[in-house]
Amino acid sequence: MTSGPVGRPDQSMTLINEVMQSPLDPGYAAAADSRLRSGLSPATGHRSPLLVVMAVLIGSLLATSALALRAPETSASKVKAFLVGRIEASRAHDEAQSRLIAGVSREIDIAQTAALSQQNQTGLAAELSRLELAAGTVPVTGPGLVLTLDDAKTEVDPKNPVVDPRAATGPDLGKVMATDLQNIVNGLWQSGAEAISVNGHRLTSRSAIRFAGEAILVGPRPLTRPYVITAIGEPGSLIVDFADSDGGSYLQSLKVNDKIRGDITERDLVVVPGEPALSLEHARPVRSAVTKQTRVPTAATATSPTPQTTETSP
Amino acid sequence: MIPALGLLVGLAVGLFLHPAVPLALQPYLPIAVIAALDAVFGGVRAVLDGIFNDKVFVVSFLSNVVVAAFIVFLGDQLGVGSQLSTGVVVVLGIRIFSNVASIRRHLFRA
Repeated sequence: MTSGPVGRPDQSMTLINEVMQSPLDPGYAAAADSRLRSGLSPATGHRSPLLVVMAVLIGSLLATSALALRAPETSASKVKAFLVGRIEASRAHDEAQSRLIAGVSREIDIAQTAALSQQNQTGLAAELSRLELAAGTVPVTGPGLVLTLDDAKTEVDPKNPVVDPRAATGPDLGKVMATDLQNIVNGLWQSGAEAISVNGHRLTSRSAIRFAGEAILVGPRPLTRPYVITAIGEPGSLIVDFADSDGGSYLQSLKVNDKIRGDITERDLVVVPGEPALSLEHARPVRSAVTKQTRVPTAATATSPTPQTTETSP
Repeated sequence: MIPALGLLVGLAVGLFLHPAVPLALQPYLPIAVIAALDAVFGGVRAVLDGIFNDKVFVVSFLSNVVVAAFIVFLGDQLGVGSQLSTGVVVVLGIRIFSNVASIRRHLFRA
């Protein structure tokens, strides 16, 4: 850093100049100069044992630092990974078991039909399929309607863009509640619907629509919005009766007052899936002529592990 | 060539032996790594300039590491260890980039 006779304009920044312009150790140049003066070549060889030892030392330093300082897994992230793994494993297990159930119940159906037809119990087979249909264990199809329900759009009111922060802590009126679904489904039953499913989950004699935290549950299964209610019923009259029913007026008031989005369309053909896992563990049929009649064929016991409960056979 | 092989041997030794570093020395490791890199790139540049000197290389490496560690130690005692570490990293980082730029000019003429 030689300053000119006038003085450099950047003299006050000697530190930065020093760092930027002479990054090489001046020692190398000085050593080369002294070696030249003593008649040697300016550079030494690259094979001195000292240099090799140094290289080994630097290499091990790099590797050791990388190993020692790599951020170790914190216990929180370990626990999280463990839980995520368990959730995924359980989900996979659930799917596998559901497939197994579906396969086994198909086998049961086939065996049941075979057993009943062998014994010439065609009346019983017809009775069974009629009961299955009514209990909601098999998928059904027919004319009906599709009702889509969704939360109100959460956009800021253009006339009043200042949102009261305290308003967010109160109950959100624009959100679909379990009660809303209950009222609408009840209105559909009332209007003569024969089979109803919500987001592909069949409503049976054991289905409850309820709230758990933020989510609406049908039976044990949580739903995600939008909520699609599929109902089968008499074409024409179902939609009209529903509009007249309590559920219809309830839906109307939801749409008008709370800006909840609801949309009913009539369809010529809708499919309502079955609920294959429907089974009764404790309920027993009251001993009457009808139930005795269904218990007579012993062939049915081959397909049903508990012959006392007529519900488990489908 | 032989120093490069030595570097690889050292890396392998560190990776496979996995020596335990005492907790008290761990704050100095990043600084030591930066200082070592600075010495290595300075040495490579000197080789390309034709003025490499093994003694200067060893001394510059050791003094870099010692001074950097001392600055960090002093900073720890004064309660500004992380700031002084940052200072050391910045200064040595600028030197590393300058040396690498010079090496690049030698190798690629660009």
